Amino acid sequence: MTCQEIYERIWTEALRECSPAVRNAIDSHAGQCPRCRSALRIVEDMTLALNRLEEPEPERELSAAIMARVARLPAARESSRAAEVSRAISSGVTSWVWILAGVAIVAAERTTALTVSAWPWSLTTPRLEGTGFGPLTGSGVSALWLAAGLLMFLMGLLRRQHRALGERA
Amino acid sequence: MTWQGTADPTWTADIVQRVRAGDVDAFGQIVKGYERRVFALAVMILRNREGADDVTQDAFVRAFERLDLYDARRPFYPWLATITVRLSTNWLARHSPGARRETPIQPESSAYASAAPAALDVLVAEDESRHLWRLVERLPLGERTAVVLHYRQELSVSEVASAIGVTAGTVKTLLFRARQHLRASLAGATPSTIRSPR
Repeated sequence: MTCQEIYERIWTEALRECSPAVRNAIDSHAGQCPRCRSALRIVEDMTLALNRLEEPEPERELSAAIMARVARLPAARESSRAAEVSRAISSGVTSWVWILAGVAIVAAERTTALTVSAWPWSLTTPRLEGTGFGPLTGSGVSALWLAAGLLMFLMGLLRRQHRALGERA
Repeated sequence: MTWQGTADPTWTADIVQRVRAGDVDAFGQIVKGYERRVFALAVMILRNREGADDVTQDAFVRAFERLDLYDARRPFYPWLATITVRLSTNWLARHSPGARRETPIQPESSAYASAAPAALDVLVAEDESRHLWRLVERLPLGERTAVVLHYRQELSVSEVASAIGVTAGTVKTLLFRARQHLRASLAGATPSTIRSPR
């Protein structure tokens, strides 16, 4: 590039977006040419100053005003309603999962306990003992299983109750 | 200053996804994150704080209404800036019918001319910001908008082009002219005869 081409590029290009090759050519030429160095300094100083400008601040209430307007939009109301319905459905399903899981654990524990105690050979070969399932009195782990099941059942009931109260409110 | 939080595309994409899923309150984070930039852009285009206030509100409301049209793979701010620029030009057309025409820059006072050799050093002084804002404010509409978007709000030339609704070449021309005008204002000299890029 000639000196004039570089000089024009300094003024006409968005220097921030120049390719590295062009930028190198400009920099190395400006190192030797006072006219181009001066132009480059002016453009760079101006860019830096523009970049450091302090901007006018909006009023503090602006974001509140925007959100108030957004909340009044039909799309926002519809969207909120849809999200609430979705949340309610998801919460209802979760409650039932807790209740059913609790019932399933208690039922499994009790069935196993009854089966094991009904089979005489299980007294000599307590095959299920290691799993924690077994007669309530015969295993501490068994009691834990029962407690966990009941706890889950209660959690499910509480979630349902909480939701019902929320809906009424 | 830069906008660290809002510059993170994951941050915006996450919030946009939540808003689309019906979490209207999450939009408040977008408003908080971008209101300064949008307001500053509107002030610079309109040169009117009350008008900028209205345009900023309208821009966010419009953005919320059209959030489905936003491509979440792209940066959010250029999209928001496009809305702001369009609403600002509409506001100008409504409030001052002649404002959309590109008007030549006002001649500067001789106070700037006398400071020509150290003009750019002056910008680093205490009231650099106010001084430069005044100069930028005097630029014609297109140049003003391009300067604020490119230099202050760090949009690329192609993003500025998209926001203003012109080609990248036109943006380069606008930036070139703006630099020339600013230089002339600072130096109190006539812009040089360098050809504009196209």
